[in-house]
Amino acid sequence: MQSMSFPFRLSMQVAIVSTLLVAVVGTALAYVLARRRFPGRELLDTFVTLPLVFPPVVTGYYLVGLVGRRGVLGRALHAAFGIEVSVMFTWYAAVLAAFTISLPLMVKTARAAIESVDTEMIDASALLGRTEAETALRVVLPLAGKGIMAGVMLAFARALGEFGATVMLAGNIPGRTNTMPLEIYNAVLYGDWRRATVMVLFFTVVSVALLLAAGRLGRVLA
Amino acid sequence: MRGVEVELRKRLPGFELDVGWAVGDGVAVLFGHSGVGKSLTLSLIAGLTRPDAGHVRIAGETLFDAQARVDVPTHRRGLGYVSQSLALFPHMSLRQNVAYGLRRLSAEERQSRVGEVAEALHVAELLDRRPHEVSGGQRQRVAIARALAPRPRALLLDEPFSALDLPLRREMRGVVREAHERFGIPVLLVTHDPYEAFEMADTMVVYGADGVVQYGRPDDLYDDPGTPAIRRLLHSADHPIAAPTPAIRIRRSPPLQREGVRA
Repeated sequence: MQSMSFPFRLSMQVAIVSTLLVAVVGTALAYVLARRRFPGRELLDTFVTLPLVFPPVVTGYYLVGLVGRRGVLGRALHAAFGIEVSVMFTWYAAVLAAFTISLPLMVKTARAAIESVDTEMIDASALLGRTEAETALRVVLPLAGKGIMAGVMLAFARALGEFGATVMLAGNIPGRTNTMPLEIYNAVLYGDWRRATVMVLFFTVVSVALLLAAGRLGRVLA
Repeated sequence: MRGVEVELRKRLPGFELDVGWAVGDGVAVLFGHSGVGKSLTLSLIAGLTRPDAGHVRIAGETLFDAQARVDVPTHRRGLGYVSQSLALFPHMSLRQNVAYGLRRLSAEERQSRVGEVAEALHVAELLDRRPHEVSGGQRQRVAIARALAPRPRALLLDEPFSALDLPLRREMRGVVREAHERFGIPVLLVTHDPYEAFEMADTMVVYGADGVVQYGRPDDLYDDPGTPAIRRLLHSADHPIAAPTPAIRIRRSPPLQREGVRA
């Protein structure tokens, strides 16, 4: 039986970095969607939510079109600076895949939490002389804190298990981009069912624990 | 000019408010049945809702003027506001609640200001607790202390006592009266309770069910109500179980007439 320590460490690294980004970006997006009225608001919500309903391979395909060597971003960089850069087939690519796939879970959960904050609290803060930014940091986010934490946990669980977009974007390179979900696939492919079962059990335990914890924290997207 | 002077128009779905009145620096009571726009008036004065037209002036300062395109944002209006729910921040201690509006002061000044209002409202010994750890009456006092701490231009009270039982309401009226005398700012109190209205008012602004608003000294209004609806409202205090609070629709076909009796 091959060592599982590299895929485990890589998966953790990818999921943690992705979740940190999701926590910041997702909370900001959720706040804007919940509290601001602007044209295109529901369109932005739809766009952020798409990866939740897309097959992850499709999301991965679009990401390749964006950041691949021949992608929109890659060609723009080449045209502007004459450089060829690509995050493809690196662990950064795995982070990007996990980020994109898990962002909607965070945004949905955090938006619901922020929308449930009593507007009288928000008015009270303004009446006491506080700006919107101060009110957001000192009243809205603390009162929505449990829901936001629930979103972070769901996003982490989803990032840890990301497969489809990851395999499109980062590939399945042993010792470089083979996260645990990919390694489960590899193990089954080579008929190493024991190895696959150990990793599957790990995911089962982690996912159940995170879902229970998130459920206790508050309203969670069904 | 001192006191509070407003001219406000606001159209909402199924409801239209069109009022104008001026009161002095005393306690002014906005009195009427539920649903006639008293709370909406406070919300327009505070800038929580934007009027369609009109102006708001407090102590000579223009906070809103549709024609002159003045619209001071809520957080710079400098008004103390206490709503029925009180809106104390549950994740903060009462001390943090009271100090919340004092960001611009030094730590030392902040502490002395918190001490001053807490002592005036008799809540100094409660400050380390959280809102859910004290009684309803104590929460009221803290909410008023929090509103007064930043030395607001005026204190706006939107039926803050209606959830309390009678003895406590009587006590809170005394508290408001005391706070008014001590801090010397105009108070606008919204109520649908005739006893409360007559007990508290230096000036009364009566929102009649017929859409007519009349303002002046309570005695003058009582003796000389402008319309039958206002007479019924003011005289409902004579009959202990009167003062119903049905949902009232305002029909406002003729242009608004105002009976202005200045205090």
